[in-house]
Amino acid sequence: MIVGCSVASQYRAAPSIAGPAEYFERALAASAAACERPEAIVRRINLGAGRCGVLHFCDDTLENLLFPPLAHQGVANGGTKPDFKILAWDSLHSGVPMWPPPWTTGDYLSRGEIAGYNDERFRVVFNLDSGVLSFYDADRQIGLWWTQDFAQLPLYERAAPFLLLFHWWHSLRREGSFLLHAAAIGTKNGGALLLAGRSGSGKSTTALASLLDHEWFYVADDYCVIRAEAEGATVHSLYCSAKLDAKMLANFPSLSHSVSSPDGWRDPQGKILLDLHRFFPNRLRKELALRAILLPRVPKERIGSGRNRFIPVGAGAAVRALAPSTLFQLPGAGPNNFRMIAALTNRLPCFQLELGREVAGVPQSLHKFMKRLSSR
Amino acid sequence: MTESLSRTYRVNAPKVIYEDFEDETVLINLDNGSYYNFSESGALIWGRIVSGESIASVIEYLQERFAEAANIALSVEDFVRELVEENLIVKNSSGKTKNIKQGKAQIPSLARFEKPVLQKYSDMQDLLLLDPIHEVDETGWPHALPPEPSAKRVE
Repeated sequence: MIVGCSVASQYRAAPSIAGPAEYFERALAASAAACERPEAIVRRINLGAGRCGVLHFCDDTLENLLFPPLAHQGVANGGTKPDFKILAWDSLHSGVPMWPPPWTTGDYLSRGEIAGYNDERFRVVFNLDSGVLSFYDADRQIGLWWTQDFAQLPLYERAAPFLLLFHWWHSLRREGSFLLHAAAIGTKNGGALLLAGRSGSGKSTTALASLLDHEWFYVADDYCVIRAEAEGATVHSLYCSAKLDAKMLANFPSLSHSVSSPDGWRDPQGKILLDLHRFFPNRLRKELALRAILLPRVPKERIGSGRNRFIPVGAGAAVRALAPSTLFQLPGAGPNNFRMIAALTNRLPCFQLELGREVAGVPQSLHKFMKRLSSR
Repeated sequence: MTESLSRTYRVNAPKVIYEDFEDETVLINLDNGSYYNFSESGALIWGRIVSGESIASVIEYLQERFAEAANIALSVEDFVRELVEENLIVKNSSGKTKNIKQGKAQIPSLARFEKPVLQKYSDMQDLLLLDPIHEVDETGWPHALPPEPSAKRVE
């Protein structure tokens, strides 16, 4: 058995459910029923710092949809007891119904949390846009991921699968690791740079330009895991996918073969998904020591030579670029996450990267910047 | 002293979280998606207000420290009013006041007093379901309603 519980055969006859613990047990039984079928697939991934997770998918189609962004951290099945377990399934393809929600429509809060169902042990969010239920039990370190029909998933759920479950797992362990909304790139010996900023700031452009340069390695596109330790902070690669505005593909013609979004996949923002593990396996790095935080910016008017410029900024500016977008995208993130982000910006040098005219020149500028940083 | 000047305030926790930095203070309202910053004199006033000092006491302290500055009282009152209007601080119901003569360690020693500016950022509000409109399907699970055709998004 996956989760050490018996599959409740009568779980459709729903009596009233009192709270998160009771609903989790029922949802867990349904998840186990879906993920114990012969079609189910099991994958194991490295979570960093010697920890590993096991992912149970209800069938290979769902595994094909959600595992590729995690494939670079894949490890052989078997071995030690996993530190984290995720059960991922849908009702349409598995034929297993989910319990109806015991909460009312008025219980959905501003970040998708369910009022009365989030406490020190349990975290529950139902994403009204994607239709994905994420449910986490911190005591048993088990996450449930469910949707009615996985064929309806929006692109962002495919680019960053189980985002909330990973966020809660790191956050509630209180061992100094946390998810951050940022891109990250690095060099073999120089360490990594965090790139922070909103969509359109030049964050993804900078990261993808570096992916295509032989001096640089790619760590993260949108979300990464930060581990803060006494000797320094490291960035861990959670996903090997990258989202790119379809219009930006013209700037990166050599990336066009790595597009993995099927025709007609819905994305109202016009983004496409790149499978970097499949097409650029040697340009990925799983973990690097952090050296600096960069806040890329495309100036409204480029004056003079239009070269890339690195302007020192304070920790407060870096926090404004990192913390709000992280906290508002990750339900359950609060004062503790804010403190950890603030501590990170206080221990690393922060710079605004004013991007010049030529995208192709960015990696070279970053390389010179890294050299200057190392000689400080 | 007027009644309003003797008031004390506290941070509107847990909705509002903040961190002090060497060069600025950053605040986030987790309920509505807004975030804020202010520097120097704003950080100095904030540190004393959220420590439980009354507005009158903060004004007195600043007038002593920056004897040549004009309009300190008005600047402090305006700044506190803005903090209240943005729901960043709320009235302290305990009524206890403190007299704090030393600012917080993170706040740099200011050479001169300048009218504080509360900078507000609202670019994260689209990440929140401020008014989640949805309908429930036959299994009890909700889904978001598509926007009405006549509705136009304000850019």
